[in-house]
Amino acid sequence: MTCSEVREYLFAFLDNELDAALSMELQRHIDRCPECAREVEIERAVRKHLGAVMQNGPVPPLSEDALRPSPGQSEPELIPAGRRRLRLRRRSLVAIAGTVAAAILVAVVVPRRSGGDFAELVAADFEHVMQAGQPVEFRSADPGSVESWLEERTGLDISMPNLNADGCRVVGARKCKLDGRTAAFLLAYVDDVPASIVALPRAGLDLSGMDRQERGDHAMHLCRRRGLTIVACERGDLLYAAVAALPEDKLMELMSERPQEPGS
Amino acid sequence: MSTSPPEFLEYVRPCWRRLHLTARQYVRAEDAADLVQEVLLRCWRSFAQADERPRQEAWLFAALRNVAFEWRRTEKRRVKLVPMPEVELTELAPADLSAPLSPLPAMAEQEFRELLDDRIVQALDALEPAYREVVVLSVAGDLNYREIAEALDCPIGTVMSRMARARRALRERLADLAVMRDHRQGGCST
Repeated sequence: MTCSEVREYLFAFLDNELDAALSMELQRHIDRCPECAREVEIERAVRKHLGAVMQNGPVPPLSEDALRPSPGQSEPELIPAGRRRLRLRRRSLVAIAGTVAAAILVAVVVPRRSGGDFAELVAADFEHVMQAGQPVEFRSADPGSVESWLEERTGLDISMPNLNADGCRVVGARKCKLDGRTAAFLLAYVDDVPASIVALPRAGLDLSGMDRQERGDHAMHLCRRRGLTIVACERGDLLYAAVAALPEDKLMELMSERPQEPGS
Repeated sequence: MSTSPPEFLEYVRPCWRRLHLTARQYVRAEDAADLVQEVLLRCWRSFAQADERPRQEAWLFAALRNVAFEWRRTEKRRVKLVPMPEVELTELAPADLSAPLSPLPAMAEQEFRELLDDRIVQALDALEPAYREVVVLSVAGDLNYREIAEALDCPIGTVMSRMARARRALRERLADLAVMRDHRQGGCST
């Protein structure tokens, strides 16, 4: 590498933006070239001073107050963030149109539901139930009582996941129909965000369209639909899916198997 | 669908401090909190309706530029750093990025530090907005080149070359300021 090549890549090198091979080659040159080493030293000092100028000072705490317009401040217009966002939305519309078309095709030709269709199904059901205003038939904060009620009402052998996890508060349950089959619907608040867990017979459903992640001895399947995260897993003859506007990790934690009770 | 404020705040939290620091480079310090709040309000409303969520950096920093640009256009507040539309950015003169950097006059390490302490802000403020902006997003926003490219809606190669030009221009300003300082000090000593 020559000195002029070093200068060409100098700032990307200092910003750790070069790939490893090029970065090492540049470093080797610097190690044996005092002139280039001096340039690196100067520019590192400049970058450090820029940081000292721009990265100091307290900032206000982040709270929900920031989401309320200040007195006298007009309600801002809703605008997508930049042209990129607009393009993203256009692309997503095309993608949705494609997904819908594919879903129709699959429904006509192949009766089996893929993971993507399943995710759409449970996400749409969650939205519908929340908008209907009466999300539960049976109200109880006790996971055991809710599970027993669901088993009795649906006839399914249900083993709900870890509902005693931190930040999880059970609200209640309802029996419902999903894709023409009887399903159990449990509503909980996780970190104060509503979340549902549905359980239904898995025959005829597969999760192949969702991203698979191994979690302990179990596989979790992830997907996003309608701004919601869907995490699904198979246990026994049932398929369980958690739906919420929460990060994937949080839902995967919720869907992990509940710890064995002492003595069991 | 509705989304809870706590979820949105968690989404914003990793960028919160960096948004404020960056806002202080776009507008006056006393207006920065208002700028960030307006960004937050707009993104919050979009967030609740979005069917997919981009990464925080791409969305929030792009929104910050949008609002700053709008403030400038509507003369709502004074804007120090005016984001330039991409079409204007392409008209910047090309530079030979392999040419030697502007030489600094010989000075001891301590003198060099003093020069930076005294003049780095002046040198930065003298840069063209398009150059200053990539430096601001990199340093105050702590964004990598890919994130800057997303915020500016341009290719990453453009960010890389613009950053190199910006830093070279900054070096040039610093060299000029160092020479001026030498002259002044020389004048005093004689």
